[in-house]
Amino acid sequence: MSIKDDLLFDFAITMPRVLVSGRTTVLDNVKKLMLLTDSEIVVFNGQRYTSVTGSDFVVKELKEERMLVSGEVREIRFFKALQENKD
Amino acid sequence: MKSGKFGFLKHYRRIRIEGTNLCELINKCIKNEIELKNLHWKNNIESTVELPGEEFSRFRKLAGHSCRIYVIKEGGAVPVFRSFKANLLTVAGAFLLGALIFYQSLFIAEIRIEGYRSIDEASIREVLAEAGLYEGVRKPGDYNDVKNAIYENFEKITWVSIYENGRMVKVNIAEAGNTEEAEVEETSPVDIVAERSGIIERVIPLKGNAKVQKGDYVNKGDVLISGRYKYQSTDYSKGDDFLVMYSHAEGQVLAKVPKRLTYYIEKNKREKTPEGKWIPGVSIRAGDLKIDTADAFNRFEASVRYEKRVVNIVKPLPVDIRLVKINQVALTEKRQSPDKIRKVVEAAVRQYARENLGKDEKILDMDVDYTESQGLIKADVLLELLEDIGSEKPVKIKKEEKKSKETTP
Repeated sequence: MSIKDDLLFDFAITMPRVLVSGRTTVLDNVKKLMLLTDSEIVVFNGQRYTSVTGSDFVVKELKEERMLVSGEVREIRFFKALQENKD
Repeated sequence: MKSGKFGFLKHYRRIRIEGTNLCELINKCIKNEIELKNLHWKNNIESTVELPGEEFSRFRKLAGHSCRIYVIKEGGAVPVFRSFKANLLTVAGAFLLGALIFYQSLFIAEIRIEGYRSIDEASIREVLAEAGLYEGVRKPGDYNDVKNAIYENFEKITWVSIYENGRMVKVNIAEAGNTEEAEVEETSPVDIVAERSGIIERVIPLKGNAKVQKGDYVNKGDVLISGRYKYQSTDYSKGDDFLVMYSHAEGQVLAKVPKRLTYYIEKNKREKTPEGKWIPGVSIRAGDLKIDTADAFNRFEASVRYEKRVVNIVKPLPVDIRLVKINQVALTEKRQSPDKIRKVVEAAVRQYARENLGKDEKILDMDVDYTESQGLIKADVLLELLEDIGSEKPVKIKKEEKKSKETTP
């Protein structure tokens, strides 16, 4: 990874960043919680949305724009709002 | 990674949120930097979450009237202390119980003695009690004095170990093996000689030749039964000369001997006459605490104390309760009658006879001379005793005799 990419990765605070390890998922840059159930979590990161689907979700910790989620992850999707919605 | 809780002592609350707009409430928490943990989504209208105790009021304000909040559980140090405060009597009771259990552990409840064989347990316990080790006493910690007391009182005990096992003290002792030497027949030649001067009353020689007879006066050191025999050899090879044979003399020689004893008796006897006044009281000893109501109110110049033990337990705590009666008495001195003094002297002489005279020994005659001095009466007792005066004295075999034996044809 080049220095530029590295800096972008560290300082892109409005972009999704997800770390998954086993049954633990860390979602960074959580600006807003859009949906929360025990099988799906959707958060807004500033420019993009992150959707995590799976089962037995429990938010173990939520502070400083970081969400630590415990549960089985099946799918992670990133998307952004349609242009029409913005207006 | 940190644990799901807020630390062992930190105050936290687990709450149940009932409402439809959970996400909105959580977004407000994100915005206001309220830390949330263990957020469980149960259904569309119900969730549970944990948050720091100090953030609860802010959280409640943010929630407003849009949802209902119930505190399910509280944890950390603050609620524990709060529950202590609410149950002060229970906490105080538990503390007192703990203190009592600790306090009672400072006292000895039982003493177990092991390892004794010839010495009886009661006498060992008596010595232990004299040295300050008995049921109900505070643990001394150092048992060296007790050990020394046992060694001093029982010569047979060669080893003592004292150790605590909870409230029990174990005393292990080891006695010396049977140190009495096996009786071996004494073969060294000895004479029986007079231990002190006296007039011979009876001679019973078991081995050896009696050299004295009844009525003889002997001085200290005189031979009473000789261990030497003269005999004529019947061995043809040695000739028919008189030879000397040595033996270990044995026997009993009873003689009349004088004995002087002196006793001092108080001229006056102190008497305590009850005056009719008395104080009742109770003496209580519980652990280190001692209360004696009778002693506290006793204003009598002279008194006699009577006690009756009503309670004496060592478990769970040493408690000794006695009923006390203190009688006022008047002290008077009364001159002892000659008859009484005579009886005291006779009792002392009988005591001497019990302690010092053997089976066949006895007092034949007694004469007492009383002299009076300031406060005391001196009794000079002259006894005529029938006493065994014989004692063994090794015989030195003279060389000349040996020589004469050898040279005798």
